[in-house]
Amino acid sequence: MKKIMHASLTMGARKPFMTRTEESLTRIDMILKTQAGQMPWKPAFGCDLTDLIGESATEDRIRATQQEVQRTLRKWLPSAKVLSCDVHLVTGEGQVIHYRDSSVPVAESALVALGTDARLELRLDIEVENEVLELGSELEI
Amino acid sequence: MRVPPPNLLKLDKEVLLEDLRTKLSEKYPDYAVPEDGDATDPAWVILEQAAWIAELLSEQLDQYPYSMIQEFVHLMGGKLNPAVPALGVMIANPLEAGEITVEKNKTSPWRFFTLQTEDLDIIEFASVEPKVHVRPTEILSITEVKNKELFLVGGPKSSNGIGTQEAWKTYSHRSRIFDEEWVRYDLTTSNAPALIETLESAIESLEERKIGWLEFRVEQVSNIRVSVFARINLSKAFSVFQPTGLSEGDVRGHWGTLDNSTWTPPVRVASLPNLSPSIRGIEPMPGLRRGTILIPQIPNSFETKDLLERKSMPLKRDVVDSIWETLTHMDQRLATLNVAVARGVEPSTDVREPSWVSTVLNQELWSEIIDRTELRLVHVRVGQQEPRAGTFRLAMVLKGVSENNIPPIRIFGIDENGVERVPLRHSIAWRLRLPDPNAGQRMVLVVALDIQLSETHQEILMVTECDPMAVFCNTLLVGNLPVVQDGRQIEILRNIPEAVNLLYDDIVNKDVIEHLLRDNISPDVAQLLEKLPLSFFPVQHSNSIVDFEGVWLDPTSTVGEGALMRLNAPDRDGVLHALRPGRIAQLDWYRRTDGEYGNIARGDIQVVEQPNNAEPNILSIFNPLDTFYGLGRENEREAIDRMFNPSGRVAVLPTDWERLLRVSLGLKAREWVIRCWSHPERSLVSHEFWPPPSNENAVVLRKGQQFMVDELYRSGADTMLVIVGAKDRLISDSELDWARGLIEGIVRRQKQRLPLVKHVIVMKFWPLILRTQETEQIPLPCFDISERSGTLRSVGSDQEQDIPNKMLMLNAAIVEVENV
Repeated sequence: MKKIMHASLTMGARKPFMTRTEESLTRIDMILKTQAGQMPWKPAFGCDLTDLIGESATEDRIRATQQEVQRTLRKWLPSAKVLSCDVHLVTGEGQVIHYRDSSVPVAESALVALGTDARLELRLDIEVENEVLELGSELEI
Repeated sequence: MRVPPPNLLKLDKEVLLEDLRTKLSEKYPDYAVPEDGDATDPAWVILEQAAWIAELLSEQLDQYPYSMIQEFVHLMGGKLNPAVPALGVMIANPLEAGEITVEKNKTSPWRFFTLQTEDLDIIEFASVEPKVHVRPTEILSITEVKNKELFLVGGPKSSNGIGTQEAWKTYSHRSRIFDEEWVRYDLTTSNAPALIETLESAIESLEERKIGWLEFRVEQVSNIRVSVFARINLSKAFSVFQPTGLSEGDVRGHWGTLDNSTWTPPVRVASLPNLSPSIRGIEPMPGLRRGTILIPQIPNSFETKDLLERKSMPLKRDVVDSIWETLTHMDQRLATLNVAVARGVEPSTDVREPSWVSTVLNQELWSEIIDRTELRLVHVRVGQQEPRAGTFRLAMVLKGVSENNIPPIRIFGIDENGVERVPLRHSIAWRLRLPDPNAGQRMVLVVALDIQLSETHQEILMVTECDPMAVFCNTLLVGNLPVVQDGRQIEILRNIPEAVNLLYDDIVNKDVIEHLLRDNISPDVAQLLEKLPLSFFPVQHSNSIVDFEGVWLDPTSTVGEGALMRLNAPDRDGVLHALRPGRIAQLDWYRRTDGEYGNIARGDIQVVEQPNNAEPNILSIFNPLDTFYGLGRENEREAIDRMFNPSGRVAVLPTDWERLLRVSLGLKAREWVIRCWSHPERSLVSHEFWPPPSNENAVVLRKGQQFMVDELYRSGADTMLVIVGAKDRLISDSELDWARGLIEGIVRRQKQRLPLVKHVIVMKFWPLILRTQETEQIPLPCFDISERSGTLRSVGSDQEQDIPNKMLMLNAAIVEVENV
């Protein structure tokens, strides 16, 4: 696969090309952070996770997300081999301050302690041109 | 005429990307493979997006009705390019002195034609200058001084007729005029016979000094005047050793010196076929005894008078004084006499020998006039049939000279009293580039001079550092834009535009002149063309219409016969010459052109037409060079291609320019490095020019290019720096000049379509060799010096230089790496 240049104008001494790792990260980032249809001249490009918005994070949906990530990476990054792909649900539980102001009712305060949002965290082991990369990222949906 | 509909305007995204891929892959071969990670390459994504937008927008263009686009293009000035007249030079041979004028509102009485041939009708030319003074003249000689020696390099083409006004440089031939040089010492006395006796005895005593090469002759001019002639006689040097005048093996000669002088005549052995090749052209060897010379290996019975030849240069002033001083030392009585010195050369029988030398020598002006090691001298007789002051037109054909950098020219007037010390005033009337008559790669430059003569001048001597290929007298700038005398009267019936078809298709108006000036035409010719009267239409009871001002004219109209003009319609500048109904406009005269047919060969303009009473009466005319710059009217297909095609050949990026220049410079520049530096490239990083200022030996080289570097720093984003040169050597100045001419021409043409780059500075490329301990492979040629270590030296030089502490070398690059 061809090398990628830095996104800034490089002149003189600086090497204009990214390292292999930087390059792989950039490519994966582009695929996962682009929603299908965002590029009108290439509507199929990207990872379509819009179905998850507003849905409850059941095991099935998380598995479907995992499959979608694997599928898009295989399609748009054919030279890479996905060794493992884990998608976890991360809630705010345990990260929230338990202090309750006297003005906040008890029931609401208990809900806040569970966290107000949940995120999907992605852990990928991927082999690109005989180099194994481990990377973790949050899926923005 | 308006431009007809083109093909669909939609630009296909895939085609654009394919083109892009080809261009990119030249620099980055990775891009040659399609679909290889393209989708996730941010750079490629941006390019895809740009191509998609271009496709989207260009598709919209096809939705507009074509008439709208046509009108839009027309409003922007998009129309067929008109036929452009050819320009050239012409020599006129007049009967008397006078002025050939082109007046406003009047047609010129002189018309110049080619002959009709099987292929072509007669083609007419007209003078472009408002006033040219012509007079009967004759070129006498063209000579050259090189290393103080005088050479004959040409003469008039023929001895009579128009050929006397044209001289071409031919092969160089050493002048023999100084063989007959003499010095005369004039003495006044009350007793001439006694003085003659004294002189003869002094000369006899001098003979014993064995000077050998010096010969005297005494002549009684009158009862009170005696003249002594001294001249150099080389054969006399051998008369003692070879009294028969024939050689016997080695030849010896007396070769003494004068008193208070070490001078002997500068001579060389003649290059004659019966002499041994090893001694031809050498200087004689010193003999065994002091004051003698020896010339070895001379065949037996060779005539010694032909053995030596004098270098073609006159005696110096101090030698002339030394001759007389030495003579007075022979008899002290001579020292008391007052002596007047006259000098000269005997008139030569060879017509090519210059006749000005005698006068110049006698006036002691030789060293004043010949003050450079290389000069050319043109001697012209200027007619005196009607003695009156005025200008005289002389033109030179120069090669390899920039029109902005013409070497100095001095012109000396010659009258009855000899050569005037103060050079005559002269000015450059115009400069015009025309095709090289010897089919060279670059055009020659014709430089016309107007020389101010006074009433007394009979001859002039032009002294110049230029090296003219040819010299012409009475040279006129002519163009293929003859006058059409129409004479129709048009009565204005309405207030609305009144269409009139003129008699010819290709009419010359300001627009046509503008098109002509887009070519490589010097500012002075441009000024003449801009001031040339183009038409004259007197209007009854109103102002005349001059040069089509205030009327609409389309010189490329194909509606009806002849170009279309509309009275009562504004011209291209929006000026309207309003004509009320009832006025009568007379189409008196206007100019037309034959376009590309006006480019004719040398000698084709032969016929002159003039009224009987025309003054000056022109006897004959001749164009000594081909005419050029004529262009036919653009056809519709060319116009569509020019205006609507994708900008395939319009250079935008430095790499586009490099490719375009490489193609244009062609075979001569094969394997050369051609590097274009745009403004951002050179202004964003620190850089240096080679040779670096630390190199003291390169001060001269650096000084030569410093003005270009200064100009570069003064100029802005519309100036491009181009570096050209071979990888294995430093190119010569003439090669750089050739490349610069071509590159400037390309930039000028590109500017018409896309004026991103308006100026160009062209510099030589310096190939450098890097001596380093690093083993890292670097792409060659490498302009980047920031990470390099070691020393640099230019190819062909031994001097190692430290690498400048900058990021880029702009005019030099590493072409070879030597590992130590």
